[in-house]
Parts: sequence; structure tokens; C-alpha cells
Amino acid sequence: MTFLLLMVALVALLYAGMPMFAGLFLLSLGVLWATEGTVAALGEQVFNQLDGYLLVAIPLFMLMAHVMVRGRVVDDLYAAAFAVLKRVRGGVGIATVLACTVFAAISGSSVATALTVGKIAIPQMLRYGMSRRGAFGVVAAGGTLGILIPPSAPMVLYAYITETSVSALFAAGLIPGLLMAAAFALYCMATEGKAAAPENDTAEPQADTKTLSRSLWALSLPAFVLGGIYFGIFTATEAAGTGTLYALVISALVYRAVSLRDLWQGVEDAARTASMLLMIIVGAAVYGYMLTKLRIPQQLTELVVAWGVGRLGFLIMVMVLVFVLGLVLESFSIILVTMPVIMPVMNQLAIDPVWYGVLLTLNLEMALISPPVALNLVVIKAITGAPMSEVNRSILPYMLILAGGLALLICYPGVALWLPRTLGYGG
Amino acid sequence: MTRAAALLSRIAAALSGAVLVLCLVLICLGVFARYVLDAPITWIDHVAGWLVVATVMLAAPEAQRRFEHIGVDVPVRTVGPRWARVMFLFGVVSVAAVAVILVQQGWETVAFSRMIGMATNVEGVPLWWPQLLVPVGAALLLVVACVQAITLLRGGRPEHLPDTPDDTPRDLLARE
Repeated sequence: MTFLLLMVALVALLYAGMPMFAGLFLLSLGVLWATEGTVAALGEQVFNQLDGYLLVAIPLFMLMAHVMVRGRVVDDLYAAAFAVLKRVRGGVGIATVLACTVFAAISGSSVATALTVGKIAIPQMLRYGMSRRGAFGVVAAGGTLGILIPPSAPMVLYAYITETSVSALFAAGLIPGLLMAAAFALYCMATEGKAAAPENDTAEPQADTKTLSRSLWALSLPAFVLGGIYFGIFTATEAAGTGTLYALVISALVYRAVSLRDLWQGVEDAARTASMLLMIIVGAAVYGYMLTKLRIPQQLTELVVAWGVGRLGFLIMVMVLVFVLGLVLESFSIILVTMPVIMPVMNQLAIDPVWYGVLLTLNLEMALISPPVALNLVVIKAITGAPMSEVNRSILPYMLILAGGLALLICYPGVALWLPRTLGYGG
Repeated sequence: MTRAAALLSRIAAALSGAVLVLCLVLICLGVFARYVLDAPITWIDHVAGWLVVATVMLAAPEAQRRFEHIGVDVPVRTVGPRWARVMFLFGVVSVAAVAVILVQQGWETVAFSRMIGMATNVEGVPLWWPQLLVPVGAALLLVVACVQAITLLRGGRPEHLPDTPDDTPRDLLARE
């Protein structure tokens, strides 16, 4: 009950205009002062919370994403996917899903994926006669793959907070991410199969040999990063560093679309992006301390044991809570706000943290396309100028597909855990 | 005053970018040293962690100057301009309050570490050096937030104040 009250108070502060880090920080501090009368060693807690080797991966992955976004990689990726799939039934939509999947793996960002792929793919899909809802929906949903298909910044944060193996999490997200991409593609094929090239088409993306070979370079980036981690060559942080170096080399030598000035801008943007995300950890440092002082995680664990709530019941309750929070908060905040409370109960109920990490991420994907804080939908509205109501309706079938995916993963944890176990992460 | 704060904030942001590049170089150097030179450099892991603290704390003022810190921006888009202004002021004041606390608490931590001579795992580096990043970054954040609050209270318009309801979020990569 106390936890729910805290959540309501936090959301109220955020709705009143406070940034997330300030809301978490001041609310927690206020509660601590009211209950304890004093707060000790706050500066040390903030420093210790930020000073983590695994966290280094987040700004470096951000830098990698900024470099690749500036390198105009997505134009070639879409042209290549389109060239390969345009003769297939519903191919123009499937090409969009494919471009989203690959770009999601490169950028790790759902919103950036929806924006960059959407700008190119939506006009093309509409020219091919896809319905407006179909075109909007596939881009918004395709964008959400960014946080499930590794490398993924929210997964790094989850691993840091819960002290779970980030390599196991990345491995666990891969198959569900590809399954979701396949489900989106199948839905596109089933509903937009009649989409075809207009007569005398001269405006379709051209994919010559050069474009295809350049796309292979872009495709090799996620393979390089994930391969390095899975084969035990790099830690996740080193993979982020060497991946960024690889992205810089590809951008400079293969794509040649980034000037030094652009690169520096990308560096500053990446630093700011990392700051925005990790400042929430500053707030979370005090929040975690406050939860411990109030014994909220212990109380929740005792409650769950007393009520005899099983694993499934608990998971369903938590998934509903995460989804509701996802309607107003973004993924970093949800992870930081919920995990300190949920983790002890998960341990008590022997819930695999890698499995839960994937469930959480898939749930966060749904939140990304659920109004009112559905940034992917805001992006599509901005690209197309379509009414928000039309954009909102376009996403409904994909929400159901994601919900189906979540149910599948709850019922069959092996879908997520098979790969990490096979790779020897224990999962 | 606004210009001076903006200059400070931009210098800090540029430093933050430089620190991020340094972090990238160190991480790649660590991999190179381990595989090519067969001589792992152990201090890199610790230093990289401090560089992240520096990146975050030094870029925070510029993110604030651009009103980019993550929050719920739906309500401010739906209310009228007057209420939106009140909400922005509330947000800016809350950031200033956090910054004041971080400066004070961060400085106390630095003073304590210095007093008892706490050392890090890296030889020759006392703990208070990296710890100093928290109060320094918070002080810069405080300057930016105070200037924004004063501008708003005077009826002015701080630079980068969001205004169009249909704006896409400015930093998309921060919004997963």
C-alpha cells in the first residue's frame, strides 16, 4: 500500500512538471525526512550509484547509436530490405519490419528507430497502397523492437540494478525479439498482402550492388557486438566501446556521410543523452535508500508469502503494474522504480531474473506504444501529420501481438531462456 | 547572466563530450592491451567508472538548459500557456533544489574522504578527486536552473523552452 501511495505521489509530481530525477530525489528525501528526521551520506550514495563499470556501456552504446544515426545507415538498410522483399506478398511492410529490426539492434532505441525508418518507409508503404493504419502501425510497432533486440540500454540498466549477467539478458532477448519481428511481418503479410508497386514506378528506393554491400557493413555491427559478447571476447562494456569504434570506422570509411563536425555533435549529444538517462539513477540512489529504510521490499515479500501468491499470480500482478506505470513513465524510470521492490520477492519465489528481464522489456515495449506517453506514436504523428486518434488506432493489433508474445513467454520461459542456457550463462 | 550561464553550461557539455571520448579510448585501449600486448591494464575499469560520473554530471547542466531532462511532458502540452509556465517554473525550481542538496551533500562527502585520507584502487588517486565531480556538476546545474527560474519569474522566456504541442521529443535516443 505504501509503495502504491509512493507511486501515485511520484506520478503527481511528474505531472506537475518535475523531471524524473528531481521527482524521485525530492519525494524520497521528503519521505526520509518525515520518517527518519535525517539523511546521511547522500553524496556518497549518489557517487557510488553512478560509479559502476557496467554503466559505462550505456553512454558508449548511446555514442554508437548517435554515430550510426548520423551515418544515414537506415537509407541503405531500407533500400536493401525493400529490394529483397518487394516481390513477396506484403513485402513493402515486411521490408519495414526488417529495417526496423536491424536498425533497432544498431541504435537500441525504439523512438529513434520509428523516426528514422518511418521517414523513409511510410511514404513508400502508402505509395504501394498499404492502408494508412497499416503503415503507421508497422513502423510504431517495429520501432519497439529496439529495446528487446540486443544491445539494449534498458537491459544494461536492468542488469546493473539486479546484478544479473548482461550477456545472459542480451541472449535471452534475441529469440523473443526476432519472434515478435516475425509476428509483425506475418500480420503485415496477412492484412496488407495486396499492397503492390504503382504502375510506372520511378520513385522506389534503388538498391544497387554498392547499397547492398554497404548494408552488409551496417548488418555486421550488431553481429560484431553480440558475437564479441557471446564468444567471451569482450565484456558488455568493452563490446560497447569496440562497437562504437567499429561504427566510427564504418561511418567514416564506408558511408562517408559524417563530417568531423557531425561526429563531435554526435559525441556531445551522446553525452547529454547519457546524462538524461543516468541522472535518473541519482534520484534512484535516494529512492533505493528510502525503500530500504521503510522496509518496503521486506513488507511486500512478507505480504506475498502471507497471501500465498504463487509465481504466476505475482508475475501477472507485476506485469499489470508495469504496464500501468508504462502509460506515464519511460523504461529507465520504470526499471529503477520497480526493481528494488520487486527483486526480493522474485528471489523468494525463485523467479529467474533473466526471464523476468525479458518479460519486463516486452511489457515496456507495449508501454512505448500505449497512449498517453506513447513516444513512438508522437513520432509518427510528427512525420505524417495524421490525427493522433488515427495513429492511436493503428497500433491496436500490434499491442495484441505483443500481449500474445508476453503470454507466450510467461507460459514458456524456455523461449527466452534456451539461448542463454545453451551459451552457458546459466539463465 | 543568461549568457554567462549558457557559456558555462556549454563548456561543461563540451568537457563532458571530451570525457566520453577519453572513456571510449581507454576501453578500446584496454581491449588492445589485453589481446595484442598481453598486458591487461587493470586501472582502466575504475577510471572508466569515474569518467561516466564526469560525463553525467558535466552534461546535466546543458540538458537542463535545453529542458531535455526526462519527465512526463504530456500535461504541459495540454494546459494553456499560463499553466505551462507555472509547471516549467515548478520543474526548474525542483531541479535547483536537488542541485543545492547535491552540492551540500557532495561537498560533505568530499571533505570527509579528504579528512580521513581515503584512497581509491588506483595508486596515487585519493577518493575525493572523483567524488568532487558530484558537487561540481551540481553547482553548474544550480546556476543554470537558477537563471531559468529568474527568467521565468520575470516573465521572460528561457532559451530552448518547449512551446509547440506537437513537438517530437528532442532527444529521441534518450527515449527508448
